[in-house]
Amino acid sequence: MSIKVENLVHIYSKSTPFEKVALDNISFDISDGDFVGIIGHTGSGKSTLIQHLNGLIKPDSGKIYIDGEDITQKDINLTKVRGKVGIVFQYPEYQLFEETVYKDIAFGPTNMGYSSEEIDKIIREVIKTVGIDENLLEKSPFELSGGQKRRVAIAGVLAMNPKILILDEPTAGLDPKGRDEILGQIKKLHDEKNITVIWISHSMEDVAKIAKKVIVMADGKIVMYDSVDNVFKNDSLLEEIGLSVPQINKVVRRLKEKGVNLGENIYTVEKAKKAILDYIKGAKND
Amino acid sequence: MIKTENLTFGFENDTEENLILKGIDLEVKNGEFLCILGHNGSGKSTLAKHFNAIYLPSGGRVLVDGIDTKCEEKIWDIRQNTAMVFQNPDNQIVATIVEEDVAFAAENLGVAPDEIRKRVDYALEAVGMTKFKNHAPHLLSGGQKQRIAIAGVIAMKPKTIVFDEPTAMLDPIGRREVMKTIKRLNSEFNMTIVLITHNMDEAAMSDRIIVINDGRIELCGKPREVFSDVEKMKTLGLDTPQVTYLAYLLQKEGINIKSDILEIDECVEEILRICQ
Repeated sequence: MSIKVENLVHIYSKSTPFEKVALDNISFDISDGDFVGIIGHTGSGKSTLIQHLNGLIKPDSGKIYIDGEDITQKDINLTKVRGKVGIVFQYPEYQLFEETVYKDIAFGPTNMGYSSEEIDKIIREVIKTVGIDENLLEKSPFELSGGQKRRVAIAGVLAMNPKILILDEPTAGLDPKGRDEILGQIKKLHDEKNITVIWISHSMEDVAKIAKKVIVMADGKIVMYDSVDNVFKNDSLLEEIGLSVPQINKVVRRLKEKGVNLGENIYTVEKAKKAILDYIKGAKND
Repeated sequence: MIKTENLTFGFENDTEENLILKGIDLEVKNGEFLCILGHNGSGKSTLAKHFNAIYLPSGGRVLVDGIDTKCEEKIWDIRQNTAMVFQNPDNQIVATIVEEDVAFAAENLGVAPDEIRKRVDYALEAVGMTKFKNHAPHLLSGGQKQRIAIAGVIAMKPKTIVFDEPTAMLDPIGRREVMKTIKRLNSEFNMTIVLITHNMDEAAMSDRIIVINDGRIELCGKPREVFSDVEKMKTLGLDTPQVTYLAYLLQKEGINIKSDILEIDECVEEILRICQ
C-alpha cells in the first residue's frame, strides 16, 4: 500500500509563546512494499510525522494519501484507515492492559468485528511471527520480561493485519539479542507478506541492516530521502545534523585519509572485514 | 561505598532455582565508574535497585557507606546518598515547570532556598537545559525530559548516582551530552557512578564492567579485558564495540591483529599496519 504526503505542516501550541513548527512543509512518496527507515535527532519531527499517517493527529495544512485516498478530508472513515496503517509506538509495552496475553492481542481484531474463531486463528499466527510461545498466552502480560512484552505489543498491532506497518523505535531499550530478533522478525514479515514498513530509529546501524531507503529529518524538514548507500555516503552531513555515524564508517574514512582506500558503501563490520581481506590480497598480488 | 555480601533476591514464591539474584558479592568503590551489563532479565536492574533500598535482600546484605539497607530508620540517608535515574523520563517528572521539577527532590530534603537556586542553576547547566528552565516539561522531547530528570537528581548532591539505561531513548547528541555529564560528575566531582546500559560504546567509557547473567556475576574487569572475549560476550547475548568485533573477525581469518581494540584510532593504526 502506498503513501503520498504533500506539503504537510504541523504546528504545536499555535498562537502561544511556545509555538513550534514540528513539520515544515513536508512532501514525499513511499511506494507499495517498500521498507523505509526514518532517522533524525530528538525533536526533529519523526514521531509527529508518523502520527499523521493514520489520522491520530491532523495537519495544519497539506494532504496525506494512503493507497490513493486522502485521509485529511472531512468525512473520512478513520477506523478503516487505522485498520490499514498499524503503528507500534515507542515503548509499546506500556500500553498492555488486559488480564492475559491472549486477550491483549485479541483487543484490536475484536473491535474490528472479527468472530472468535477468526481471532483465535489470527492470534496463533501473529505470535509465531513475533516469536511468542503458545504457553505464554494465558499468562498476564505484566509477568513477562521487557523483550517479551514488546513482542506481545507488536503482535497486538499485527493482529489488525495492517498493510502498512509503522514502528517508532521498536528496539529502544532492548538488549542486543532482543534487538536482533525483532529486526529479523520484521524483515521476515516484510519479505513474506510484502507489507510496507516504516522504521523510525536513532540507530544508523539498525537502519543500515534492514531498510532499503532512508528519510533523514532535521528541524521538521526532510533533508535527505535516498537509498541506504547514498545516505551513508553523506556521513559528514549526518554528523552535522547531530546523528551518529557507525564506528566502522569512521574507521573506513580515516583509512582513506591515510592512503588505504577500501572502497565505497562499507557501513557494516562484515563488509569492512571483506574489504580489508580483499585489500590485503590485492596488495600481495601487486 | 556500596558493598553487597552474598546477595540473593527472589519474589515470594520463587524457589532457589528461580531466584533473580543468586549470590552477588560486589564492592563499588568511592569515586568509581562501574558499568553493569547483561541481557534483559539477567537481574541487573534488580541488583541496582538494592543500592538504595528500593528492594531489600532475600538473603545476604547490602551496605551503603556501612549502613545496612535493611535498617529502616536510615532509609532516607541511604536514598540521599545513592540516587537513581531511570529509563523512562515520563515516570520521573512531577512539576509543571522545568526548574520547579529540578528543585523538587532538593526541596524535600529541606535545602535552604538560596542554596536550591544555586543547585538548580548548576544542575540545569550540567545537563544543557538552562534555556528551557521556564518551559513545561510535557512539551519537551523525550531526550530533553530525561536530562531534566537527571538534573533533579544532581540537585540532591548524592555521593552515588545509579543510572538505569539513562540514554536508551535519547538521540546521539542527547546521548553524548548525558554521557559527557556522567563522565564529568565522576571525574570532576568525584561522584560514584553505576551505569546500566546496553550500549557498548558507553560501557567502554567506564573504569570497570561487570556482566550479570542469570543472577550471577559472569565477567568482571576493565572494558578492554571484558570486550576482548568476543565469543563469551556473544553467548551472553551481548555486543562488543564495532572495532573490537572487526578485530575479532579478522583474527578468525588468520590475520595477526590485536584483540583488545576499543578506540577508532587504535583500529585504524592496526589496519594500516596489516595493510602495509
